[in-house]
Amino acid sequence: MPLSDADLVAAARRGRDAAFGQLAVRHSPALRSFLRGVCRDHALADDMAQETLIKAWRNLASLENPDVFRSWLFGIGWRLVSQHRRAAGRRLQREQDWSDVQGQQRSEGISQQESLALEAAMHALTPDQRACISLCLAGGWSHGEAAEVLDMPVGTIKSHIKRGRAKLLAALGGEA
Amino acid sequence: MSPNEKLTSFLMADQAPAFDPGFIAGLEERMARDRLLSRLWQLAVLAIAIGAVCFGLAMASGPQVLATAFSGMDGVIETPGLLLAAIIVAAGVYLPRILPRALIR
Repeated sequence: MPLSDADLVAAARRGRDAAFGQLAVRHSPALRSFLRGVCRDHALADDMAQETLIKAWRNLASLENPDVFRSWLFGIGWRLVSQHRRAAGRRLQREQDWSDVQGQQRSEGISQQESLALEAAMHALTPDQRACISLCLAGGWSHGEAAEVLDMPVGTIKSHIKRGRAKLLAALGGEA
Repeated sequence: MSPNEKLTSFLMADQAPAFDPGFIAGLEERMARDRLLSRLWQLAVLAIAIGAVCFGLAMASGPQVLATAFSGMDGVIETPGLLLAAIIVAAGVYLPRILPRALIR
């Protein structure tokens, strides 16, 4: 039977790095996917994910409830990305994003034109909307869980998803 | 494909692989480096503290206390191979603890 997050956190707090490694194996795919959705730059998102995990490892002692490790980890990632966004110039970041998009994974069943239109629509969303879309639509998180991670009311999460999804569908020429 | 399916497909393109040994190896390497730096800092602080205590004792007791301490070491230092053995034992005990895991494998 696999150990729970709380068991692994307890072991990692006792200095067992392998236990934290297991937590990383368990949660890094979802964390990276979330950050990729928010950053729109896979390489930057993966760097941010690694930074998030290192920060979590260093601050494991400050986690009050080990059962909510996943939300806590994603919250760290969200704050790191927000800090990075503030630090980087918006124009510079946008140019970087456009050039990075070319080398990223191509979606199946979508033409290049549609993919570019969706990418442009994603860039036009606010970072909060992208985070909500990435967590709830792509990651399958509940609105409550997303509210905890992003430190927003559930109503705001729902509103961000509704508006963001409408803008993305409008970019495809679908219903808004 | 409907616009909804296209949107889902577009969002799925951001999904990271379920298992990525390269990413985990990079993380473990950073953790090992972090651990090594933290231990080196601890050892540096300990060395400075011990040095300060020894310096204080020497200053308080006068230089003759150092001469007395080192005179008792003469026999130990002159024993053939003892210093080499001490270095080998210390390396065997401490190196696996402080070296990054990737270097030992």
